[in-house]
Amino acid sequence: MNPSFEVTKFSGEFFSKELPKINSISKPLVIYRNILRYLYGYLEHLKCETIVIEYDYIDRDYLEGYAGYYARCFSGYERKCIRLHFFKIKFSSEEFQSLISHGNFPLTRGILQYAYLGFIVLRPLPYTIIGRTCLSPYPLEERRYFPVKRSRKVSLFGIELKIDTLPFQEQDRVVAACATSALWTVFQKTGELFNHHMPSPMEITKTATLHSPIETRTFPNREGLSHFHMVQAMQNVYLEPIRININPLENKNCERLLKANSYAYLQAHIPLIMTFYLYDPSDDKSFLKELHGVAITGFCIDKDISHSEPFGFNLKAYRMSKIYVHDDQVGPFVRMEYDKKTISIGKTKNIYSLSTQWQTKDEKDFCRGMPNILLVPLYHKIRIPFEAIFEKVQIFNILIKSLYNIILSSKKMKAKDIKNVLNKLEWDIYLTTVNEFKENIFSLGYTNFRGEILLSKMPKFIWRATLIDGKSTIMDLIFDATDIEQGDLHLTTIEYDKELANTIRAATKVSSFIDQFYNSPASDIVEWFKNNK
Amino acid sequence: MLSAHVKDIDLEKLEKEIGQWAKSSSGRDTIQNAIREATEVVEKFREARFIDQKKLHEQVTL
Repeated sequence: MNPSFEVTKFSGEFFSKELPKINSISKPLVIYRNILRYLYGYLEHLKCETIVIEYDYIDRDYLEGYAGYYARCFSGYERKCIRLHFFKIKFSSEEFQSLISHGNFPLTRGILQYAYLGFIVLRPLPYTIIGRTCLSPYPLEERRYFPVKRSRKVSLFGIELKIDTLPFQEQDRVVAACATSALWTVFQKTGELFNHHMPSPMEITKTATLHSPIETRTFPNREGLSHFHMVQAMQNVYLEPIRININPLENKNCERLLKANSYAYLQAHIPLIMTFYLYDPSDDKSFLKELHGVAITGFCIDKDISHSEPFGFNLKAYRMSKIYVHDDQVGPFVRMEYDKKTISIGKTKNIYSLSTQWQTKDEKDFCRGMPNILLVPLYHKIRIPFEAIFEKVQIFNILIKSLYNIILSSKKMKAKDIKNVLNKLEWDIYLTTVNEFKENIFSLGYTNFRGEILLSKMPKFIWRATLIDGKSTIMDLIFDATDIEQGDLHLTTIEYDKELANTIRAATKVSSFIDQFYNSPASDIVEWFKNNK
Repeated sequence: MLSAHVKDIDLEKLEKEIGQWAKSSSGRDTIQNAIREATEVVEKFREARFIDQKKLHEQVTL
């Protein structure tokens, strides 16, 4: 009788020698794959010590692909998978067996939960073996954010474990290509957020191409999906995606666009899809051949506040130094850095690009990624896009900075010092829900606005723009995210600093000053300050 | 911190100062220029919703 499990030490040797043998069908070449190297390095970074190998595991996503394709192959592909569980403590097979059979010490469920780093499902395929993968993200360390992770229950022979992550799987190049894998990852979160069906990779590819077939066969899926198909796949689960052009050849603001939009929607726990062109510096002709799709799952924020012009606009999102993506060809939580390095293609110089972890053909360096399109999968009631709020807040920011310029100048402060004071003002703009917003207000403890805000009626989805001065919050502007763009979107303002707010109120009485803002998109915010004393 | 600079500020005096500044040509120009620049940035954000993939490919001279 085959064993149900094995316990083994986490090592490079396991990944290079033993892993290919676990699965009778996997080819020896599998060990040279970038994804295995990445996963080994990632788990080493998480300080993994022990692996529990769970045999005969039934995985729903693989099973659908099996039923739809592999079962009808002449070769007898296996129906069941193998699942590897990773732990950051050392224990033996006997100790694990003892916990299962007798519940004996030293191992307990609590200890296993503390040490649990997640799991990888190994598909019984020759080459593309990495199935559903749920691994812990990088430690947060007050700079990394993974707002799209969700808590998942894992049952290991009756031992209930939990892992907070967003699932990942690589394309099998049969039922799914990169776009399908990225969509599958995104749906794992939006399904939970917006209560829609979470389709398998097979289902995603099939339904995305139903009304607009691709130019070649659907299965095996080698060509992948177009942007149109990706939008179709999102609409199939009743989401309304928005499409943003982040191509540097089209828009010089592409970095700010990418940072501002990805931050604003990720903070609402919505993962995004980004497509980019891969550029291999060792093979100049490679450009535009390879368009790749990934799911954005997190970001890293720098501590230094960026400096702008006196009337400039500091957005917290602009401090983003890297994004983390689920890249089905590399692994989960892969870093893509805003490292300011540009690429030159033919006669076109200084093209904006991001770092990737795709190795170049000569294996001496990594490819660059030139951003192309951002797809944001939204619930149909989220109708107001980021730029509508961005416009209002930018103009209101001019009002604030003009006002404090007057105040500080009247105190005979030097222009350089005024600039330093105003440069510390920063806006944090993101989408959220009324429940999350109110829970946050509740958690602040006693405030003079608490009761009024908690009892007020608000739409389900709201935009929140917070003005921060160093570490102190000055005000929150709250906008309706479900209205129409031409409506008065501003709902209310929370004044954390009453004295500062009163200076704005005083300014609203001066018509020669305030009239310039009445004829702007920020008129609803100005009106609020005038009418609420 | 900004709050330290506005503590116990005379709001009536402030209103007069704002009025004088806003009436001056430099004050008016400063605000109008800043609004125009902000609108241009937002316009770029809005333009990003329209995509011409064919044009993108043509822009790269290989």
